[in-house]
Amino acid sequence: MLRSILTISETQRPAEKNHVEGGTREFDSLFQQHWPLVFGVTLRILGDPDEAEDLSLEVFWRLYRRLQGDTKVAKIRNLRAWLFRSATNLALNELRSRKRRTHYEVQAGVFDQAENSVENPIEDIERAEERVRVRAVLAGMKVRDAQLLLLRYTGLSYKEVAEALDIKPSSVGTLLARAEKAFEERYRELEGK
Amino acid sequence: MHIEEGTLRALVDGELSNTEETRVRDHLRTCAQCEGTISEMTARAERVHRHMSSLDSSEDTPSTQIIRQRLQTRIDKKETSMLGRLFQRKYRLAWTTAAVVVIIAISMLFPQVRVLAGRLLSLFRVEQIQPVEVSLTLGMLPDYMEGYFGSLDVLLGDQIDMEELVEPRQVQDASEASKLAGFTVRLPTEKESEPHIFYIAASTVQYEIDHELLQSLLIEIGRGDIVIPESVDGEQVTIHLPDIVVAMYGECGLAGDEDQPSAGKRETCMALIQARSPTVDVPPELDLNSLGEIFLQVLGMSDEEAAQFSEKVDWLTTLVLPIPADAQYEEIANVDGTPGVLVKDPYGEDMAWYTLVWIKSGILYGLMGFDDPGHALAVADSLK
Repeated sequence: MLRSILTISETQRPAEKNHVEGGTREFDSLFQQHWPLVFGVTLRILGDPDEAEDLSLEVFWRLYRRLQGDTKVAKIRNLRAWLFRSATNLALNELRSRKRRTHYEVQAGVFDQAENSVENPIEDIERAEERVRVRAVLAGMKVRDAQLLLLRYTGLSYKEVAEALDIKPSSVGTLLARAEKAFEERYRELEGK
Repeated sequence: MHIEEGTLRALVDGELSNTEETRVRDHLRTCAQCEGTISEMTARAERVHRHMSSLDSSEDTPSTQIIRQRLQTRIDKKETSMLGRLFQRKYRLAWTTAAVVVIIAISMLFPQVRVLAGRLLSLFRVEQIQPVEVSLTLGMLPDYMEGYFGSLDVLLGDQIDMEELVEPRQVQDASEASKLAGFTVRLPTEKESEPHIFYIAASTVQYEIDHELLQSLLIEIGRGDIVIPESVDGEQVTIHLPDIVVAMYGECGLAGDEDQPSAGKRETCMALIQARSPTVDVPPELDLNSLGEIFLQVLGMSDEEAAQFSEKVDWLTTLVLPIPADAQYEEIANVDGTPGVLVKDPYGEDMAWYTLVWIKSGILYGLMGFDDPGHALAVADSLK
């Protein structure tokens, strides 16, 4: 419980660097700079380019609102961290919702596509199965664990991961090791089914 | 003496300083166990990396310029509709505090999930406590709260405008905490061990409602069926948080431990929270019954049940305590000389995760931990 109090307190420290204020030109520049990363991570999670684009646009819409709105707090402490966190939160939540609603439909769709592949149908089916399984594992993990794996796989340093998830850099190694264990356990469970 | 897991994992990723890396590698030369651990860790990291690489995509994507145009279209569309809503002020105030009600009240749950209650104990000036059974179950809580906290940070974290917010400060004893808090801090004589006592200074939270974000929050916690009128946008709510004192007994995973305490540690942790009631500046024309209904609906009540319950409750003076469907609760006639509510999640024959809440002489008390609930009541009765 107290950790939550401390966490809240830490997030309220004044911005020290990397903060962003409003302005259309600045926003355009931010967009150009960060869109590939944001889209990349949402596409990795969701797999569908249209869905990933839609969700990534939502992330930048929220960024736009913060920067252009008349709220007193218009600065974002660490933009890259904020973008990654927003993108992974929204995408993982979408994945979990999708998993609940359309599990079998998605799987059927994926396999239909693979079966219609002319060149390497068996390999394509296996790759399709793997993607479905990995996404199912991520959707079923604790959000923070899934985020850790995704952010680390995207190439963020421990410091960047810590900023994105609002944890201490010294904790990233421990949490990452545990997230990997959890991933493998869950993967094996699904593989066995 | 072995190298801890996190350090080994950081070595695998090349994230240690030169000095630290040298130290660890020197150790690995002479420690077969650590060498085995790091080998296993490296192999697992590679396997997981291969799995994650299956998600790589070679899809061609439109140029960034085209995407930027699509974003602008989205911005223009949303801003146009928002301008229209600025003229629909009729129902704005009725829903203003809904987000805060939902967020704070959901936080009043069990200690094994992350809880904001240390700062946001309740709304309004609390004079009584009313438990209400909701359909949300304990089993749903971890995923629910993960999604909720994940969303909360995204949607709310940068929006809250804190006038002044200081870190919890550890103090020497109850006497020092009393001086700081401005009320007499009481501790249980039933406990033999010395507590860690923390003081959190009073502060003010101002929150400006963003309707889009609020509706997204409801969607993300699985209650997209609850529709908040769009006219709520831009309304401001001010919450005055009181001075809070927290006394932690046993091993509670404090300072530096990002993980939940281990099962062994958790069994001895007990937290006693005490604070005056927070107050909220709420526009006078606020429809509190409607807000309360939303809060109850978010927790799983049907529209009809929520409406019926909301009608009977004085939301201005009552702390409505949501009880998960698979938890047990008792309304205790006498806790520390006053009525209270005990909520528990039994574990084994005699033990339970418990939360005991009561109000005495204008101070709100919360006792949380893992123990025989009968002992928790004895602890509460022994406050001096």
